[in-house]
Amino acid sequence: MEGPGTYRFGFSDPEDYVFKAEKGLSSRVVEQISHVKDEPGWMRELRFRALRIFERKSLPAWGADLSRINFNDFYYYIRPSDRQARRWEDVPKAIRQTYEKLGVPQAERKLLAGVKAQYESEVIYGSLRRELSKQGVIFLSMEEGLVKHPDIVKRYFGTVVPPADNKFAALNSAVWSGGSFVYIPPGVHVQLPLQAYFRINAEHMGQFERTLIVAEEGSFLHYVEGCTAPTYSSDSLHSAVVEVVVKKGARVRYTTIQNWSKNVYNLVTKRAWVGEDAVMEWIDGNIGSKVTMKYPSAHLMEKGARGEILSLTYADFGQHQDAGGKVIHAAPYTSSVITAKSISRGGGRNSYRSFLEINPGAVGSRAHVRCEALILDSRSRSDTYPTIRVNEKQVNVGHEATVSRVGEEQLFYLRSRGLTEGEATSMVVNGFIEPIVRKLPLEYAVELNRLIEMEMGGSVG
Amino acid sequence: MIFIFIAGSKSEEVKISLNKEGKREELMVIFAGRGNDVIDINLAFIHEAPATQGRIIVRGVLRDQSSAKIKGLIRINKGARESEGFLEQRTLLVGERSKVENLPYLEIENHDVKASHAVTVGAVNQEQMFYLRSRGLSEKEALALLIEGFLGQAVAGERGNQVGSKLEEVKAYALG
Amino acid sequence: MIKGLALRISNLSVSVEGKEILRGVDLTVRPGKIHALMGPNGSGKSTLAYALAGRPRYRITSGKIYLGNKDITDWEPEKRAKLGLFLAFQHPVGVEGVSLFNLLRSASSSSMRKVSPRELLIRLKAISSDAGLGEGFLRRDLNFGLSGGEKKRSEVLQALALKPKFAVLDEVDSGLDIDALEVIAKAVGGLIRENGSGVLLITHYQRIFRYLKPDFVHVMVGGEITDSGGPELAVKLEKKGYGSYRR
Repeated sequence: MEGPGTYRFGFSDPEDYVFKAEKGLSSRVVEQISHVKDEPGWMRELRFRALRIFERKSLPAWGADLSRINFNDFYYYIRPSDRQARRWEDVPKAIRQTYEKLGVPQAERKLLAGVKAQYESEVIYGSLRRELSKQGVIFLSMEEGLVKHPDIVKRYFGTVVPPADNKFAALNSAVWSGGSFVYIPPGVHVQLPLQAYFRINAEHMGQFERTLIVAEEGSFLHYVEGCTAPTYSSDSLHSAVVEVVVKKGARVRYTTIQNWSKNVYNLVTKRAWVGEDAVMEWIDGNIGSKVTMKYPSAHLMEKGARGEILSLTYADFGQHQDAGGKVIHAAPYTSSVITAKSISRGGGRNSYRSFLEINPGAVGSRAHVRCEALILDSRSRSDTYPTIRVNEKQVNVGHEATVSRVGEEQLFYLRSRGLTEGEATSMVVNGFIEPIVRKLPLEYAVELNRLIEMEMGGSVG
Repeated sequence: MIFIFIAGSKSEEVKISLNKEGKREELMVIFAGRGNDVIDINLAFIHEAPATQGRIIVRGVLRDQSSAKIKGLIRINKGARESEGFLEQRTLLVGERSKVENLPYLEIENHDVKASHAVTVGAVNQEQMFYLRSRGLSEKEALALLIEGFLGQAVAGERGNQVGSKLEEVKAYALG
Repeated sequence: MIKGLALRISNLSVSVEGKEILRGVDLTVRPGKIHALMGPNGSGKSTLAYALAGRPRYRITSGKIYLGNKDITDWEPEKRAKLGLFLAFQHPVGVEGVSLFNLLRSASSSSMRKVSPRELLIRLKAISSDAGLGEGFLRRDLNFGLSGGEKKRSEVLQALALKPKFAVLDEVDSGLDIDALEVIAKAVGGLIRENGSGVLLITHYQRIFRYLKPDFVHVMVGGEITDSGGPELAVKLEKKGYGSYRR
């Protein structure tokens, strides 16, 4: 059974905040958020319009059980400090120590081109290597983006994921705070990843960051995000919206390692608009949270656009990961690959869910889906729910899925070489997820392998 | 083995419960649509007992602006250890405006099982088309042969009997 | 005896997806003759074979192809086949669910179409054994799940059944052991003797010439025919390779 000791990031800091909005969701809270941020009128109006859509829309009739969410039991806005620091020394000590425990400043020195650290509702630290800002790369919090580059933000905000897309996109649009605004000028290649790190600290917290990435023609970006939270007995809510615009010939890789504590509802909308011969890659790892519903999407809008989705989910006791991906082929010669792997264990449940559509006229398009699920014990569950809609004949579409256990022969072979059953299982599981781990930045690859070993090692056999 | 043949607009729903230990069942659905046909197929195999085996094969051809929606569920319940389920849905789109929606579902509640599904959708393979034409078949004859082969594969060895003649009806509908 | 037809290729240039592969090829093969076409990988030999058979993606940018007195340059593949042209594919295409028998029944020349399916089966069984294949082979899926050698024999079997007036054999000999080679050579030899068919034999190796003697040998390099001669040319190529033809 799941012990409390295995989640390494379940600690919390004492609360010492500059501003905490009242609990619950109301137009007053939305007004407060907009007021604190001193926003232009169009954004304020967008928030109220989104709030009305949220109130009107019902919860999705499919997917994970969300019936126990009480939307009035969360704090929708907490401002932890007055301003965003440019140096870690200027971050309040307790918060800085938290990020040190998470290893963020250490990784920044070695592996990253820039960092945003969000704590509760606001980005409290930000950096970007000087040579990148000289090349015109913009990496700001969404609030800063709105102030410094109002035209770009206004042009794209809410166009890839409109507020009416779904109930949680509406919620985010109404109460969003924090998140990143990234702009890569034409032809600029950002060699090292930009990283955002999200931390929830307070109990009953709702975090609603909003991210917009615009990659101009021929540019390249790898964006990485990680997230953790303290373990509480009450629920927290994380509902982000991520919009990515990948223009002609550009390539964006967006990597997420979601490791929320097991009391977090994680209901996220991520979508990319992909232009001519451009490539969008979603690498989506979901290890933590109580419930996740997330289907990173690629809308292949121009000739030759490509979308790749790599999804890895791990569900243990008390967890339901309802994840997968969505691809729309809206132009000729577009291609997509979805690869999904899941591991269910200890009573956990994984549901792979995907939507693949090929529009009329998208001739020469190719789409392939490969979905593999491992179930490690008799209490766990795995589902596969794809929808594959083909409205054009000159295409090549294939989908395969398998659900299986760890092979007894494999286990026996490894045990005959002296491994315990636990070690053998974690070795097989690590082999199973290896194709995805290989695509992660090193720090996350190491973390993920260690996590799997830790989770498996103790309790199997 | 259960056969279902569909030629033209139809709604077909089949739910089979594998509720006796060791029970095996195989279901084969062959369909053809043309004109404005709308075909709706809803299949479910529920594995309730241990060591049950299920296999579903769906194959169809859609011409003109006909369309099909194919839902196939394999559900393996907690107690159905050592069971195996397989589902295959393959559609050949021949019409410029023909379309298909596939919903192959798996719901697996036991780890000691094997379950899988596969879906393919596409037009007639142009390499095959050229090969047959190089042997002297017209485009129409080649297409007919490819459709016949595609549908016939699923029920190979059933020629001559009642199943064979039902297959001929579906083929004739697809080609007619 | 069915009379074979001459093949005449005149100044033929062919592009595939905008890339020019053949540049002004001239070649004439008279009925009953075997012309071998040799050359390194990627020199355009298979492109010529596909262009002769009318493969849609292979665009003829200039030149003409005549079979007998017919200009077949713009003909559909099936029309060429009906006139008597046969291509043995280097990589025969698999078609699951379509048996070889079904293909041949649909494809057979008009004389064969008159016979009953039963009579056709008897004839095809005889041909099948000439190609070194068992009787059951006719019922198997077309080029599907076959070994490399079986695929080559299947191509030859089809040639024997369809009695072409001209046959293009694209590497029917590669990957075969000596026994299989002998069977195939014998079958092709019969085709020439009985039908007077002309043969364009595309090959990498002169090994097959021991069983099937070419009347002429042509060398293709870089999409052009760079040398022609008698069987002695093949011996020279075996020893010296294509180096002297490289531009």
